[in-house]
Amino acid sequence: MAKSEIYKPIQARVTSKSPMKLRADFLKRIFKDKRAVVCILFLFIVSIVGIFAPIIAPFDPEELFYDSILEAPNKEHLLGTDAIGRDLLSRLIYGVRVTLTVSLLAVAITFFLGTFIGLVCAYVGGWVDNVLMRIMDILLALPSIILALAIVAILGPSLTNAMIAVGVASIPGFARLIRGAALTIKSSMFVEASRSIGSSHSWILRRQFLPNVTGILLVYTTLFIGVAILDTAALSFIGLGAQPPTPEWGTMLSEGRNYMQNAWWLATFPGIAITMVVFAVNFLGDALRDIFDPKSSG
Amino acid sequence: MTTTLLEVRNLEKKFSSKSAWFQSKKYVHAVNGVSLELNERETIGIVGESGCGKSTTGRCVLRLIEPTSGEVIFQGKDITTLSKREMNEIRKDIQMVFQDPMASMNPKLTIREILSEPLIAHKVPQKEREPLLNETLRLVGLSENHLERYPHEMSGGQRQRIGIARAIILRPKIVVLDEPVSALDVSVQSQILNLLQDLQEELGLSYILISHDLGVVEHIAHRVGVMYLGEMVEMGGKEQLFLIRKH
Repeated sequence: MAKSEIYKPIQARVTSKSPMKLRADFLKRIFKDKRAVVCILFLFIVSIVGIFAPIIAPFDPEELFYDSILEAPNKEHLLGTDAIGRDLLSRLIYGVRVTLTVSLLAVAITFFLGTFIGLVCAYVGGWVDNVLMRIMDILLALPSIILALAIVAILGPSLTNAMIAVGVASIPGFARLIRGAALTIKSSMFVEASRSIGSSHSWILRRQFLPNVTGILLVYTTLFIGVAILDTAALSFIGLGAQPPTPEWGTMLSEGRNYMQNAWWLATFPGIAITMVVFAVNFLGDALRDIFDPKSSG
Repeated sequence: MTTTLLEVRNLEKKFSSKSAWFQSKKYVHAVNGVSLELNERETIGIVGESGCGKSTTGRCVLRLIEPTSGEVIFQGKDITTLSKREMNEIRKDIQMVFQDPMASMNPKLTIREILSEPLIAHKVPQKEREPLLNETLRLVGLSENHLERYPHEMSGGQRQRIGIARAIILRPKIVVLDEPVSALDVSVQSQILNLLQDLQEELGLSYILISHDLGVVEHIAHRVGVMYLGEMVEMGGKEQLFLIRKH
């Protein structure tokens, strides 16, 4: 073949797609999934309610109405009042802020530390992997809520400590997931190619590993938000999380438990709120998993 | 006069298989005492059946697999004794083209990002990168409008051209070609082989070509080594080897 022929630019047969277009494709796939859309919409509304709580809530969450104690839902107090006369709806609305902030921060702890440990274990291997993973195994042997309980017992009961406890307790599971995914990437040819080029370890981790675990990261982070909301609420329920009078859903549930027989609304509405948000987050996680990995659907 | 660029002496690689406690370790001799010399602008072909240690030899030269013993002398230095940092400096001069172009590229990165990787790794100044990218693409017969694509949006031949572009973008002295055409259609194979020959002429490259396909080796290699069970059983000029076949 003549030299000129080889050097002639080959015309592409496939139309090119820019990264922007790929992102648009991904968004399109999310919006095609009705489950995902409903969940995103619901969570969006819940977040808006939380952000604009002072405007939306009819009363201050800590304002006491002495003349309407344990009042059933009525026109003035749409979801009724609690044992010391606070408006339940306002407390639920303000509770969105506490619950979502705490669980998101807890997930952030899990996300950063879990991803870091998982990637390092997979990439470095050897004794580092062995030591870190055995520690994770020990932590995994305990149910995450028990581990969280132990951590709160050490740090003392408060909302911040509950958040740290929930975050740390979820790290082992997360790290294991990321390690598994990263191990497949480590043995791939493109990582070997990067090494042959002489790229730095941090570059290989950032540019070769991370983009390939984004899907798993996104899906499991979403699923962990559900777990975190539930665990934070559980810790608050047994008095180790948010302390009264903070309007936290778990604490509210716990307070309402004592009046189950004569004031059903006190435990029911926070319970429904927790259930709905956790359901929405879990459904969204499932939908995202199907979108990222069509093979696992069904 | 030809000058020796790379010399491999008694290269050896043993893989140990994991054994149970109190059991002696078992070893697999993947490469056993391989020696070769690579001259400037020369192509050495390494042929052999699969599993005979050709690819391991190539990887040991680049220290992608650490050799058990032996020397790899490049520019007067034994590179098997260099620190990781020093070795990274040498990598600029010894690059590799992989068998499967699709697998050797991160599917989540664009061609621009893939080709920029060597430039970033070896700290080529920002303003020199763009001209280098364009020039290298032209050398491998592609154009700038391929830069924003992803590997899956290209044909097998184009992908291998990108693989070659990535290997030559730093203008190395030696390129290890690990079965560069065996994953390609026969029609594309000859294009890629011709491209490799032209690049050798233009950039003064030396190749270590690893292949199981004698036709490919005969086409572009100057000297050929035959490997069998980890050993280099025969080494000689192309004519000598293909006319008087011993193995």
